Amino acid sequence: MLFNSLEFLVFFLVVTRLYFSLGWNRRWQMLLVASCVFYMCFIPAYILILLVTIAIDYGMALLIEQAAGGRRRAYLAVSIVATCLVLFVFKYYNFFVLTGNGLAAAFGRGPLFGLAHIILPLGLSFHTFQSLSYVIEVYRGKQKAERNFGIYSLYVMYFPQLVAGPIERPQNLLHQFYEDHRFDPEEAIAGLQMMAWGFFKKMVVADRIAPYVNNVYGEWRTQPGLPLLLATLFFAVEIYADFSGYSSIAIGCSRILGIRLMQNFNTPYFARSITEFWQRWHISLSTWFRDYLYIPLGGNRVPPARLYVNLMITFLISGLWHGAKWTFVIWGAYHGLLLVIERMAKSAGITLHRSLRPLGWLATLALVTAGWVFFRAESVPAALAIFHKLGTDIHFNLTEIEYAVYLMTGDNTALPSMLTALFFIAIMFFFEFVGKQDAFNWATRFKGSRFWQMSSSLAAIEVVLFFGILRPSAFIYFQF
Amino acid sequence: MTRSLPILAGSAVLLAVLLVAAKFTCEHRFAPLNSGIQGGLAASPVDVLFVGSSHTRQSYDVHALEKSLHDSAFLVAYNGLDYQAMTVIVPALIANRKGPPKVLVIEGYCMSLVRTGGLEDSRMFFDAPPGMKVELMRQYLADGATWQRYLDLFDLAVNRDNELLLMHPAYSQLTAWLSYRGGYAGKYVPGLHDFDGIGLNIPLTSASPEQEAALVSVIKAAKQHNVRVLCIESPMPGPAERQDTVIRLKARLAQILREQDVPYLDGASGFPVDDPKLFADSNHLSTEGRALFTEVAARFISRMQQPGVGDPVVKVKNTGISTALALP
Repeated sequence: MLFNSLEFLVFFLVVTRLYFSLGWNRRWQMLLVASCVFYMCFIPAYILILLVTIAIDYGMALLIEQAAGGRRRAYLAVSIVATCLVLFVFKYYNFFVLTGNGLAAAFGRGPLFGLAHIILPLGLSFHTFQSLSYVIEVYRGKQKAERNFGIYSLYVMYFPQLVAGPIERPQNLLHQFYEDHRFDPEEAIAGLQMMAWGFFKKMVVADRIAPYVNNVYGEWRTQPGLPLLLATLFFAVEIYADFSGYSSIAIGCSRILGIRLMQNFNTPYFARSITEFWQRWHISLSTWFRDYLYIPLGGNRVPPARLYVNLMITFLISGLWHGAKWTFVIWGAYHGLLLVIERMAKSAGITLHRSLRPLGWLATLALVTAGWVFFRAESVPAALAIFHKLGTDIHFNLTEIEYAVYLMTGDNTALPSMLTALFFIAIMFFFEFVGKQDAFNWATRFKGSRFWQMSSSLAAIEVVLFFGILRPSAFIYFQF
Repeated sequence: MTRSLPILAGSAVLLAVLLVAAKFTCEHRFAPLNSGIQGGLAASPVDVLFVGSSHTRQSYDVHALEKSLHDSAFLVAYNGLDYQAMTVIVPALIANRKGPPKVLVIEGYCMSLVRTGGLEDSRMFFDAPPGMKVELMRQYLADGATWQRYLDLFDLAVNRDNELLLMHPAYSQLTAWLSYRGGYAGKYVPGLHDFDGIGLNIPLTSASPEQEAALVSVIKAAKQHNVRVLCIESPMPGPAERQDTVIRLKARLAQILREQDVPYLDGASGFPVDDPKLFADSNHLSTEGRALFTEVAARFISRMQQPGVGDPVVKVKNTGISTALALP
């Protein structure tokens, strides 16, 4: 059940109606049932995998809380290993087998292991990390172990953020399931606005440009440089609009239910350095890696050489988290390297003069966009070939431009479609820049802001209805 | 504030209904006037009117055709336009108040006989006036009123081609540049290097009775207005032309047209169908192929308009029926 489907709309209306008609102590049970139904709409049997990891982490957290010293560490290790094992089997087994077999072939040996025919459970990386954050926080003593198995299950399975985050921390989410949330029209309108804005980003922007990116990257061998450049720029927009759109819908529908989720994006494409970019992009994951990997490795309080190694380790694993492919590992390494260079420059006292800051923004945007080539390309050789074409095969003549535009729809509606896409991309970035990620922020600044808020919400709904791509398509981050 | 939500929901629904109604009744006024249904109506009366799918659009150089024929011509072409959809748009085009065309050239694409009905090209819906829209919707549901089809129609009526409205100034300017009386103007479509992987994916092996009946209905509607009806089938690459199903469907098409006394040109006859550079893909001509085929079509139309010249013998390649025309 995709957020951008009619089924979800009906599902969410029913859930909201039931949620507020029940007594507060029954609401979490209803949310848990709804979350199970939501998850089972994809592959029903996979809920068992989820339940196994939930049961292990629930039990281990209780044991960690009661134990002391080495035993605490042992229980934590069991929990981490068991949770990661599920992730390894379902997500990384084939990757390591292929890599191992490739190495064996290089030494003239036959395949070492056979491939497993496994479908990746939806949102596995997300709920695995959410579970891990819980046991680690219990181990650190910052969170009490949850006694109620149902509430803990809901913490992992809460449907708005189950398949693609934001990856919540127990301190932020668990207690909210115990609170008595009354229906608050102000909150509901704010939530609806967030949802509408999320749908706008997904259905009006991301889904409109996705076919172009898919066509060009799918046929990268035969495409000249200009369509590849355009598709790369479009992909940078698509992945942002798609993922931040998902996050906005998740945060918005949760807010209607009275449960606040953490912010996941903060105008990342307006960052003026790579460091700043990672403080604004997929915040729930960046902070997860910061809190549970980078800082335990020593963080910033280590000698420079060790700090650079820590950064590289963190980003290599972050790359691998995104997908079991070398392209993602290289993408992670690329960002790690950029951060190391930034740190080195900072240590050497090299900073941009205030007047040159726009250059910092442009350079960051260009570097991040270049990195998306690795993220989107089907393989490392494909990514390298695309870079080669981008460097040597771009010609700005009428025939090439006409061809590049024609790929938008494949007929003479290509230009209006491309202009429409550019128009809505500009609208998206303008409102997010003005509103500091909250696109409706501007509406509250005017006198009679209620009128403006209602009008802007209405406009967003109508734009989605009339200009959104109504055929549901999956969110990019679902594959992770 | 508690009333805000119902007010918002009600306003959203009301505004949506008003906008959909406005779109449904007015969007055709924003349709280009040098292509499509509105172009065909605006150009009336026209001497030779072509109606067909992307084949028609890509098979004729209208400027060269008019020069050869010394007549005015216009193409009304939508991707995947089949005979069932023609039953809706052809009567409107020939019965318009400015007068019917002298000659109606129906596209004889044999693949249209196996289509199951549908609205592949949403621009046809966009260009159609409200009455024609209703008729297209009714026809779409007549093929099976499933939930999915209702959703398709909702999508069509509410959401499709709104970018053409939003970008109307740019779009109308673009079509003015790139179209000439429904055909391409100055657009270069390169030819193939070889026929690797060329072939047609044909969904059914026998002609659909609904499509056959629709073709007959279109012919009768034109004849009622004393319009001379011709049928031309553009050539396809040799590997596609030699497919058994294509040969069978062409024979069936020829038979129907013979029964209706409609001259039929099988474009593949005598055309160098094994020259890849004349084709853009598995079933469309390149610019070079278009120039060559325009000459063939012009000769056919001109011959059919001469007094005293009888209808040519229908030619279907590879079926043993004798030839009607050969390349110069």
